Amino acid sequence: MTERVPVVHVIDDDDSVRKAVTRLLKAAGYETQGYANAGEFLLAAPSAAAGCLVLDVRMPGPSGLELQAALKRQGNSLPIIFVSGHGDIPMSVQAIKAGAVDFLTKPVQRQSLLAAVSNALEVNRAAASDRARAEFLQSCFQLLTDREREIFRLVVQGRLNKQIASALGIAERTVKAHRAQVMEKMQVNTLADLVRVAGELALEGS
Amino acid sequence: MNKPKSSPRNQQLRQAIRATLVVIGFALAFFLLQRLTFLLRFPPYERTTFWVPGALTFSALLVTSWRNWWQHYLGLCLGATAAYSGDPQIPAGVALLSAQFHFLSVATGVGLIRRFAGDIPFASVNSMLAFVFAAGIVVPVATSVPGDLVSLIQGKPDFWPIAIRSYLCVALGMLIATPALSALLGQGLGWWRSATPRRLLEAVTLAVALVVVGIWVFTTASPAHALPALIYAPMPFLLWAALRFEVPGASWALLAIAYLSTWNAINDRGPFSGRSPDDHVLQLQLFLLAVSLPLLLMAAGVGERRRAYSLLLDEMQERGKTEERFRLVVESTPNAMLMVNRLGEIVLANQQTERLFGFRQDELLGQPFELLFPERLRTAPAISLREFFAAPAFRGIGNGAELFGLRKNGSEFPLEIGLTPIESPSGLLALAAVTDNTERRRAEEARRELVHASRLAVLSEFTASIAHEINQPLGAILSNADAAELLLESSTPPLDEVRRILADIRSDDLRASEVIRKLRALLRRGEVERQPVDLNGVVRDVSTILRAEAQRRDIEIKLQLATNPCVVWGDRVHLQQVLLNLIVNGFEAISESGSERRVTIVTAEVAGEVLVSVADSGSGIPAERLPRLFERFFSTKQDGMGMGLAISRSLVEEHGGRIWADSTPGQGTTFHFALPLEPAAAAATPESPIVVESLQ
Repeated sequence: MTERVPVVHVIDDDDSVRKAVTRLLKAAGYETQGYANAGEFLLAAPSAAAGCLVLDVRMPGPSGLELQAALKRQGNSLPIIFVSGHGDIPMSVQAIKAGAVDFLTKPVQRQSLLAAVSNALEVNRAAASDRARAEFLQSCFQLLTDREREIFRLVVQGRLNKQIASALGIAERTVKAHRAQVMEKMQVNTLADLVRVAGELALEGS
Repeated sequence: MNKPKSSPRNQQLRQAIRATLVVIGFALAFFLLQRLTFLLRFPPYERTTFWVPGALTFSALLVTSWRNWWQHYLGLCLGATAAYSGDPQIPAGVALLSAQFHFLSVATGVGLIRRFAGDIPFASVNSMLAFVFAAGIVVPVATSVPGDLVSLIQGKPDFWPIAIRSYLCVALGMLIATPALSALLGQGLGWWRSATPRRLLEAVTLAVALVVVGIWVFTTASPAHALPALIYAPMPFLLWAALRFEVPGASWALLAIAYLSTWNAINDRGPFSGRSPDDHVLQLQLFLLAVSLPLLLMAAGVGERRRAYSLLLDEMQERGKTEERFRLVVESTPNAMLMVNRLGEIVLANQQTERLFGFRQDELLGQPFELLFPERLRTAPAISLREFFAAPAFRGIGNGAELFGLRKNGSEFPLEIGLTPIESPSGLLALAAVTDNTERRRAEEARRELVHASRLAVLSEFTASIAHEINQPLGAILSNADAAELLLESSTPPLDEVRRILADIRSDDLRASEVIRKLRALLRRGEVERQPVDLNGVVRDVSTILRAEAQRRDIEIKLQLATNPCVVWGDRVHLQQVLLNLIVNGFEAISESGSERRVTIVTAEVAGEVLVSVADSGSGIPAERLPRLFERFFSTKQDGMGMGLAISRSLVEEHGGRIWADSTPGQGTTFHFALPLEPAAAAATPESPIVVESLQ
C-alpha cells in the first residue's frame, strides 16, 4: 500500500504551462500526469492512488475550486496545491479553508513548487499511514465481544477491576480474564498503550 | 364672376375691331399713297420715278407676324381697287389682279429676308444686302410682271425701255421708303417719345436743312445754268442722316429728296428738265438709285457698328461689375483668400489673409506665394503651383497631409488650401482659399485624448486578465528553464529533451511578446493613420486581448469571420476601440444574467460594405431605449459612464460608416456597424464561406 509510487497530477488548461510544469516535476524525479481540465481528471479518477494535485484555479469549465469541492464530496483526499495567475486573496483563503495544502502564484518558482509538492506528498503519505492504522485498529476492535468492549471502555476510563466487577455485577476474576482478552485482541501490552489506542479509535467513555 | 366669362368674348371683339381697323387703315394708306403716286406721274406716259405703295405693303408685312398678313391682303385689295377706280386705262379687274401678284411677291420677299437676315431687318450690312436683294430685285420683278405681260400682249412699242422704267420705279420705291415706313409702322411714334431734346432738335434741323437745300437745288438749278454737280448738294445732309439716324433716318431723307426731285421734274424745273419726260424718269431713277444704295448700306453699317460697340461697352461694364462683385465676395468671405498668377506672385489678398498671416496687403501684393510657407515646404510642387497651372482644376492641398503656413512673426500654423482656377483679363489665376486648421487640430487632439482615455478606462478593468495573458507564457518559460537546469545536473543529460525545452521557451517568449505587441497597439496614442485595415485582423487582435477577461467572466467569445479579407479604409486603433467597446459592452450585459454566456462576433461583406456584428446572450435592452443608446451620457448600466457607445458611433461615422443595435429582451442585444469596403483590396480567393473560430 505505502509502496505505491506517488503521482503528481497537473491540471492546467494552458498547454505550454502544463507541459513545462510536468516537465519540471519529472526532472525533479516525480511521476506526473497532465490534464487540460477538471473533467479530464475526474474521468481518469485516480482517487485511490497516492500523490497530489497541482491545480490551476481559473480554467474554462469547472474551476479549480469547484474540482476541489467535488473531490471532497467523493471522499478523495488527494492534497491540492493551487496555482493562480492572479494571486487574488479571497480565492486563496477559500482554497486553504477548503483544505488546500498550498497556494502558489504564477510564475511558479521552482523551490516553492518542489517544496509544495514534497510537502503535499508527505501529507498524503502521512494520511495514508494514519488511515491504514485506523483501519487496523478498527478491525481489531471488531473482534471484541460486547462484554469485552464494555470492559475496554471502563478500563480506559481508569476504573479498577474491582470497581468494574461491582458495576457490571460480575466476578473480579472474570473481569481480569476479559481484560487480558481485550489486550490480546487489540495487540497491546500495557495499559498506557490501550489508552492510546482508545484515543485513536475515538472511543468515548460511557 | 361675370368678368372671366365675358373677358374672352371681349377679347375676341377687340381683336375683330383691331383687325378691321388694320384692314381699313391699310387700305386707306395704300389708297392715299397710290393717289400721291398718281400726282407724280409724268404726263402723258403714266410713268413715275418711284412707287411708294409697294414699300407700304413690304413694311407692313415686315413688321407683322405672317398670321395677320391676311388683314393687309384685304386692305391691299380694297385700297388698290379703290385707287384705280375711275382710271380709264386700268380697269378694276386688272388692278385687283396686279394686287395679287404684288402681294405674293412682297410676301416672298419678306419671307426671304426673314429666312436669311433674321427677324430684325436692317440691323446689319448683311441683312441690308438681303433686303436689297429682296426689295430691289425679287419683288419689283415679280410685281411688274403682270403690267409687262399686258404691254407685251398689247404689242406696245418700246417694250424694253418701258419695262426697265417700270421695274426701276417699283425697286426704288421699295428701297427708299421701306426702312422709313417699317420704322414708322414698327415703332409708331416711339422714337420721338424716347428721344432726348437735343436729338429731336438735331432731327428737326436736319429735316429743315435737307428740305431747304432740296428745294433750292431741284427748283432753281437748271441744267442750262448750273453745274450738274449741284445735284450732289444734298449729299452732306443725306450723309448726316445716315451717320446720325442710321437706316430710318437715311430712308426718310432719301424719300424727301425723291419727292422733291420728282415733283420739280414733273413741273419741268431744276436739273431734270428740258428734255423728254421719258429721259427724266430714267435719269431721276438712276440718280436716286446711285445715291440711295450706298447710303442705305452705309447707314446699315453705321447702325451695326454702333450696336456692336454699345454691346461691347455693356459687356465691359458688366465685366467690370462682375470683377468688382468678385472682389467684394473675396473681401467679405470669412476665409483668407488670395489670387496668385502664373508666376507665383500674389495679385490679390483679402483682409482675412492679412489677419491670418500678419502681413499687410501691400506687403503681400507682388510677393511670391511661397512667402506664406515655412522654408522647408517651399520647394513642394503643390506650393509652387506648377502642377496646378499645368492642369488647372480645383484641388485641395494640405488636406490630410501636413501643411503649415508661416506668419510674419515666424510662427507656424496648420492650414488647408483649396485652389480654383480663375480666368481673368490678365490670364489664368489661382484663387487660393486658406483655412486655418489650428482649431480643428486642437479639437481633433482633444477628441483623440478622449478616445485614448476611454480606451485606457476600458483596458484598466482588464489589467488582471492582461497580466494573466503575459504571465502564462512567462510561467511556462520559467518552469521550462528550471526543468532544463535540473536535467543538466544529471550525469547523462537528456540533450534532446533539453532542446525541446529550449524550443518551447522560444515559442512561449514569442507568445508573450505578441501579447505585449497587441497591447501596445491597443494603447497607442499617436496620430490618426488612415490605411487599408482588415477588420478580421482587428477582431482577432481585440478578442485575443479580451480572451483572459472573457475566461474570468466565464464567457465564450465566438468568432464567425468572413473568409475574404474585410478591408476598409481607416485607422486601426480607432476600429479596435469600437470593437473593444462593443465586446466589453456585451460582457457587461451578460454578467448580470443567465446561463448561456456567449459573445458572438460576425464579419461579412455585404453589398460593398463590411458588416461587423457583436451579439451578446445577455438580457437585452427594451426597445424604447434603443434609439438613445448612442447618446452621450446615456447608459443602461448602473455604473456606466455612457461614453463608450457615443465614442464608438463618432468613430464609425468618421469612417463613413453607420452603427446601430437591435435587441430581443431576454435573448440579448446585437450591435452592428457597417463601413465602406475598400475596393482595391477586395479581390481575394474565396475558400469556404465562413470560418468559425472559438477562443475557448
